[in-house]
Amino acid sequence: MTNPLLRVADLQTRYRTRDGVVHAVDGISFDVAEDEIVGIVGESGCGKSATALSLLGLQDPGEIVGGSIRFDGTDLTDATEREWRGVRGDRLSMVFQNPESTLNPVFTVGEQIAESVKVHEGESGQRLRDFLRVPWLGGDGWDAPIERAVDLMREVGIPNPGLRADAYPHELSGGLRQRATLAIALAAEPDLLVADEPTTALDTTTQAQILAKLREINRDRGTAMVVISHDLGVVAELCDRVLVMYAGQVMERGTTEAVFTNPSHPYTQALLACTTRGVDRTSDLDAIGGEVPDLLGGTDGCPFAPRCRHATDDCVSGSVPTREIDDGHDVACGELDAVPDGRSVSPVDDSDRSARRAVRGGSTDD
Amino acid sequence: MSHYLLSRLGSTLVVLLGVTVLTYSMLFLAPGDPAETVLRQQMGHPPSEEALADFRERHGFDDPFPVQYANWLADVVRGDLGSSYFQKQPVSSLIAQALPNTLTLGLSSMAVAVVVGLPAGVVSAVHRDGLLDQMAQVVSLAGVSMPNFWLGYLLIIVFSLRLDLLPVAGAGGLDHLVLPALTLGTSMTAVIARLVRTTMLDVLDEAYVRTARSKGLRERIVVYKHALRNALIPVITVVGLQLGYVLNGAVVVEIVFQRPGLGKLLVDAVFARDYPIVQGVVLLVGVLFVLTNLLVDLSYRYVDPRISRPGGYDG
Repeated sequence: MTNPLLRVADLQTRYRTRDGVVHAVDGISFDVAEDEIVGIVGESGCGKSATALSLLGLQDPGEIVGGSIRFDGTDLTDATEREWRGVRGDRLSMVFQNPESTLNPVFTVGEQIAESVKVHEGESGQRLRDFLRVPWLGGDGWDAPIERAVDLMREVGIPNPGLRADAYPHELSGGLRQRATLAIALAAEPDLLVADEPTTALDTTTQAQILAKLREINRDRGTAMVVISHDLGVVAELCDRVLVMYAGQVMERGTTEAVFTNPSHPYTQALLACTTRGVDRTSDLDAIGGEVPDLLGGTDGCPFAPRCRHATDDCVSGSVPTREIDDGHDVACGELDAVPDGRSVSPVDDSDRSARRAVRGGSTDD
Repeated sequence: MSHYLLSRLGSTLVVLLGVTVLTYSMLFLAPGDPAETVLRQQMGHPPSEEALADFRERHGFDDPFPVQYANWLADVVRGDLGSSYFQKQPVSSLIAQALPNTLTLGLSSMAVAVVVGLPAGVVSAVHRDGLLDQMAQVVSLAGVSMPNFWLGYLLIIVFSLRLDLLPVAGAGGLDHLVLPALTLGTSMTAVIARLVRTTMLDVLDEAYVRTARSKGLRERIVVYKHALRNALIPVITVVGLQLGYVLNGAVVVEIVFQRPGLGKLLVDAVFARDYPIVQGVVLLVGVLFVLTNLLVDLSYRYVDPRISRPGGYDG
């Protein structure tokens, strides 16, 4: 990895609320190389979505107060709104969670996909009257984008795309809607796709199909991805590397392999212990005691300390050291010596890993 | 689709029939005997029994209510609303003279309201809590709160008497229309501006607006295409209902500006107990109100595909 496609350094995004300032993203750093899929995993409210939105400059009403986002050598945190627009949807695009609400109910699916084709075409700029498509005021030149939209719909696996292009979002199933949002994001053949909980609102079968499609896009087009999920299974199946995020900070990072077979941060271990895999049905499921902090005013010391069974007085204040326990495997924990060895607690055994490889090889592609 | 249209038209017919029943019943519910009231005014002294009986027979007052109603309805359907007791003219021609003035007033005040209120609401929402928004909020609160007749006199004092720019009263060219349309349009402008602001704020928080931004669309297109089209759905209902209430407001404004129209025709007829005119105007207003509502319902289908193409997904 010489020059990463995306380099996020010490990113800080804050939201002013009535109750105080929420430090949603509190100094996180990571790189994404070309072709690479990086996962960000954590509980709800840990700042994953705020991170994703910040990457596209869509954090409004939040504010990026520190750090930098370098995309292909350009610092986007300094970018003007116009410069942002040039990147957004073109080289950098996003798939949002919950396809129920991410498509506009009053426009056809085809038009919404065609829009993102048309946005970055030509020098004429975006004229409002072209986009309003009021018959006698202009709005020509949609035939080619619509045709391209139909092709895109076919590519993301929507059957009968010519017919479905004229459908409104409410006329499509959740899975098809999510494929349509994927088509919107892929319209300009972006270099980097940010997917925020791309499968959360879908049933298991559809989830598997969407994940397979994402893998296929990564493999065939070399599109780099940042995949955000609370679902460890999604991350395990899809990602090359993974960041475990808690309270706006990175707790542990490494290759997916390393983090899952040798989870070394107490939070990662707790998260993995919550999965149902390999748990016999008569025993209780583990849950992490306590609650996710509200991130008001930021945190001192390790944010996980109040819920951590290994925490000492030192964890509650001061800065937390990040230790590299293996090549590219970092853990932000001050009491690593007290934490049990990751290999002994990992629920992932060798057979699971080989199963994962089989899945990654594309055997479940549709 | 045609099923919806048919059932909607059917229910509109039922409502219209109800409107005619209520309109005709007014005559019976109103206090006093119309025969006596009218003849006393025409003759200048209390009428004799013979004169009363003759009047009642001529106007069919001796028949039972359902018969009278059926006769009246049969005439109405043929376009005959009867004749005024005092002005020796058919009601339909009196209405035909008054209606254009009122329609002009109503539509132009509605145009003022939409042309000013809609952008004001959008700008308020986009610059939420900014200076423009706060100014718009204060102005629209004032607009909603001011009574029409008071605003009308205020405008006459300033623009007609002090500045001598516009005529005080009457009907005629465009200059006669300006002040009445402003008077009637102000409160509607304020209502629309406030409503558009609220619905726009809701819509701007929607996930699909964020999706639109993530495509790299200009904020103008995000606001005026993606957000506004959705925000318009509830606004259309209110504009439609307001169109009905315009006729209410027109009564007051027409009196203030001494402007001939349905409102003035109605009020004069009520004071004179000229029942055929009252019935005719009330019936017309009722019919217009019902038809406006029908139009609103149908326009929804144009704006919101979830109504024109309901039903589940085919996935």
